Amino acid sequence: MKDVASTLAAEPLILDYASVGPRVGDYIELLKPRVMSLVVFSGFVGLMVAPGHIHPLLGFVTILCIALSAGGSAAVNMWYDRDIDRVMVRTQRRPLPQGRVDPQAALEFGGAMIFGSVALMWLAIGGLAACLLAFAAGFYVFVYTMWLKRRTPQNIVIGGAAGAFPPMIAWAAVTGNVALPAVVLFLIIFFWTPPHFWALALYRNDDYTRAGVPMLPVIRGERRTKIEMLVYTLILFPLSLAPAFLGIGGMVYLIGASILSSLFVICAVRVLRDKTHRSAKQMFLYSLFYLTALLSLLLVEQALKVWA
Amino acid sequence: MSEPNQIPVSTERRRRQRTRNLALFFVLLAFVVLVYGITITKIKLGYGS
Repeated sequence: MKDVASTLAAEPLILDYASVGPRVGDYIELLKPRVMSLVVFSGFVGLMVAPGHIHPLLGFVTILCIALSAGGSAAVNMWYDRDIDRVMVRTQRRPLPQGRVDPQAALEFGGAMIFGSVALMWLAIGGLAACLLAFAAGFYVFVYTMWLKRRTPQNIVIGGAAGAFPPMIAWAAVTGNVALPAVVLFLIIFFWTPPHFWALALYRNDDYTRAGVPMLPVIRGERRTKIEMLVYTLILFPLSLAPAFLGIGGMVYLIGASILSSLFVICAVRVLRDKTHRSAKQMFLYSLFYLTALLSLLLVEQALKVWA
Repeated sequence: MSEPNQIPVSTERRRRQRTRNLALFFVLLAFVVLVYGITITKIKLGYGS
């Protein structure tokens, strides 16, 4: 038997990614698990607040398909953006810029996940939910990633629609149609997205400038971005209260959403008045809490209904 | 003194290949079980009847 010393002497020790191949964890990283968790949660809320009943297994499959489709879209996004990810500090440690995963493999992996999730959704749930899922994935990959992201400062305003679909897809899975409350949930996430991403873009401005991504702060400047962030939070305020009047939220939701949305507006005002990027960073973190808390309030309302 | 991460490339390549194969196997297995479960559930719920 060869001893360890002779093996070590005979073989190279530096792990060149191309020679050892990717780890399973590298593929998981391609799915953007943190983004996926919020997508899954918003889908779960859509599933719970929709009127009607869905078999637990079919409910699980709905959420699984939303997660797989979001993950697959993220992998294709990373494949397409691997050139700019390499120059941005925030993204340069991703598997593709580091050469840990072959780009072609990442594309095939993402494409297979999108195709598989849509097929499974069609098989398990039905045509409408599957079509919405395919549309959301296609919108994220083709409209946002390939078309808008590098061309217009409105990239995340329009592209943000892709991330707003999960509650609507889940709603369609339960009810077989798309009703007004599902559209309102879509609109809440749609109008939440710009201030969320622009808060990030404000304190990552250098990154986006270096990569040549025309984010609003890069093209129109910080002042204009901050004003637009405030406008979006003001539009979001009444929208966030709407579920209370559409039968999916109640008094607890109304009070909670009022407080959360007021704080979001206050965050935007602080960002507007702040010359540094400190409040932008705080607003980015608050925006994550805001959406999670707002959706959680809908779950609380559902629990209260069941309990009552 | 040897570094703790001094692993021959061939050993690491084999280890990663084995893990990837295993992960793929479990993903495919889960898919088959899921499709089976969905089919049974839909039959029980009366779809297609």
